[in-house]
Amino acid sequence: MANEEEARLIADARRGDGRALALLVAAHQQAVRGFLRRFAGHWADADDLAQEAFVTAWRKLDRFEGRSSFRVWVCGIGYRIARDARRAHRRAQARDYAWLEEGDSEEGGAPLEDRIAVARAMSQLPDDQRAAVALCLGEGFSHAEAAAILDAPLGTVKSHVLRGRERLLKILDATP
Amino acid sequence: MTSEDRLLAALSAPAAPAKDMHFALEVMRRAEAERFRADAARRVLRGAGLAVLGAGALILASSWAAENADALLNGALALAVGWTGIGVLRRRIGAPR
Repeated sequence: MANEEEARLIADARRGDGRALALLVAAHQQAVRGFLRRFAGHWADADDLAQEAFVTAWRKLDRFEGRSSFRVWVCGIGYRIARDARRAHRRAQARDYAWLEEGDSEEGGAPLEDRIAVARAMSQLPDDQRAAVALCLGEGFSHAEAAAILDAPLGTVKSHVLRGRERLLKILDATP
Repeated sequence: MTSEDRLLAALSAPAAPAKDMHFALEVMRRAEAERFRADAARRVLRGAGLAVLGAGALILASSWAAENADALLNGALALAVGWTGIGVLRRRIGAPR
């Protein structure tokens, strides 16, 4: 989506235009849901969190200053919601990998077994490393964008991505 | 295929569908529900505020009336006399009511 079009949709959504909000959601849902699915693990919860993130973004749209892209801003909201929900519940959540089977098993050139193995390995990473890996290696955000989403220094994010990747590789090496 | 290739391929596979109207509709439904809740809460707060103001004004008026019963009585009497006087005068000169 072009920047001008996005700015126009945001302005329209601020005025209460539901269609503009729907178009913004449609344009960015894949990145926000993808990130939260990789971060939260449980796909149904992750989609619920993503919906909450978009509704919160719509409610706080007046506070969006445009210093980052809309996508980065909503991902940041989603991350904070997911992190707070995790802290609040503090319960062992059953992790579900059903979302991995949604698409074609050869989609993206990766066999389903590898995607499940990586998802399982992701669940063993600490929260901040998993979030950084999900954003930068999973959803293609730049390190700077991930730093804005996670509200963390750029160097810390780079280090999380590097260490997370190394740990994933170690786990994957041990998986046949 | 190295572990690194496997990892990158697995991570770059999309974790969510590119298009999902059901998801967008669900967000819209939740946004509308939230807007309705916020409006209802605003209406309740406004009603409660007006009720508190009305009750306050009523208490002030009744306490003032209790303290100034004589003045209130005199005022009401003067109003009644004046009203009656105007009525009588209108009837005498035949003015329409």
